[in-house]
Amino acid sequence: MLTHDEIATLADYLAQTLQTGPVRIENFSRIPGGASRETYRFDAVAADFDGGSRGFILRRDPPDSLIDTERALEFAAYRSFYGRGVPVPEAIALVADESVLGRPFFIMERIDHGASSSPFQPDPFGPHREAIGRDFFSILGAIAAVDPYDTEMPGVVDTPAPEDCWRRELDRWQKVIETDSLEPQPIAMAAIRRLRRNPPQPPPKLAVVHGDYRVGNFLHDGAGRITAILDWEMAHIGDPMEDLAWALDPLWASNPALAAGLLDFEEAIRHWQQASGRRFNAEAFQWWSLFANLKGLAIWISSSKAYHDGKNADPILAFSGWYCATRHNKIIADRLSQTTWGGL
Amino acid sequence: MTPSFAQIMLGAAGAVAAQLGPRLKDDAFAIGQAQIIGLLMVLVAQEADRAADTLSLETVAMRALFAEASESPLPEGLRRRLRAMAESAPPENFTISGLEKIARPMKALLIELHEAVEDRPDEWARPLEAKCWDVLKLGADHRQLFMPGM
Repeated sequence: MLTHDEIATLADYLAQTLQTGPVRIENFSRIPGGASRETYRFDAVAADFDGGSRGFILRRDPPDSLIDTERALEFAAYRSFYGRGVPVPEAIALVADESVLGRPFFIMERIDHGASSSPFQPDPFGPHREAIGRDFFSILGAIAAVDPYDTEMPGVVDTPAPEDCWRRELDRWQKVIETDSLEPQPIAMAAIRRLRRNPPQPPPKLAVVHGDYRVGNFLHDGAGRITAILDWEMAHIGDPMEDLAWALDPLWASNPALAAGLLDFEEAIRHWQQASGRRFNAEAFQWWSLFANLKGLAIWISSSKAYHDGKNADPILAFSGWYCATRHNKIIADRLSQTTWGGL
Repeated sequence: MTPSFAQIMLGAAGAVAAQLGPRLKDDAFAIGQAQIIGLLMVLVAQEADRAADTLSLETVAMRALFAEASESPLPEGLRRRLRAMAESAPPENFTISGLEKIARPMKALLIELHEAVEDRPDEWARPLEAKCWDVLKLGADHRQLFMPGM
């Protein structure tokens, strides 16, 4: 939690950044989720604001995080998609200077009247499941439709050659597994070997990849519309099949018979294709799907290490490092044991 | 043990939900943390009684696999290590940490064996590869956790 002095500093910082008169901060509270950053909500009160106040979200770096990410990257992703048919909050300020709030942070607009839903709820959207599903896959398609060179992303992440997308991502997450594992990981290592033996076809065009697009990382209005896509901290430039495969990982599906627990698979793909203007590549999808299982496992291995080493005592890390790792180990083992010596 | 670990942990989770939860109604962060803590208690309740058993089953299965693989046409150095691991000393105790200490080098050797048989196109290698997966699936299946609705 921020101290009173830090909150006062934040008020002064906002007044300076937004070029308003004096700002007073009210209703400052921490909100759950987002183990990669501490997340707070607050109202900023100033005579210059319409209605006298504006709602904001503050995301501050934690002592350690689930994912070693650059806040500049997440900030750039929000700016890249704001006002472009992808619902995201407006990014307000990015501060790397640790003298302001003790750790780097960024501020974004708060989306009010939006609820988030856990993928582990039995029926997170009730009668609005299909409507949310249509929005979910259409928005993912809209992200894939944007030319990455027409965004701020090339300024903060490297741009791979299309044929190198898979190798770059696999190298990255294999390194995470090798660095953070507290014990041998025979299932993860088998998946890595299988992925290296069967590289996917490259994408015809690169796209911005959200990197964590799934149920649980968006807000919805309770009436079937998605109001904000959040948690862009793993965004990068790559193959859009990667996002689709991650969104469809069985871990996120409350009903595993449906794509992301939301729609029939064919309908989900149809909405994605319509919105993206791209063709679904079933063969590449198979590779990225196994990769999604492995990437999940890598993240949970890192969570486990951060919790074990005492760098971050958030119980969500104990949960993801244990439960989610157990699920992904089984998902991969069930899958790969069906096809020995070779294919995916 | 009476009460059992499961009973203690489920009782504690119930107390978090029924007694602490209602007192946190204005604090979204505290409610979220309490939910996760309660959930962890439910998961510990499932795992506590069986964790040592799962590790024992895994190490027994790995010893059997290593013994069989040590008779295959794999490189002699690997066969020697497989044989040594298959015949290594049994655990000194059946604590989870004691069993994990025994299992860790076995899992590292299992990775090596798995990779070695995957690389061989020979007929004899396929059953061994399948048996590697049997061992891996045994552990993965036994560790599955029931997730209550949140």
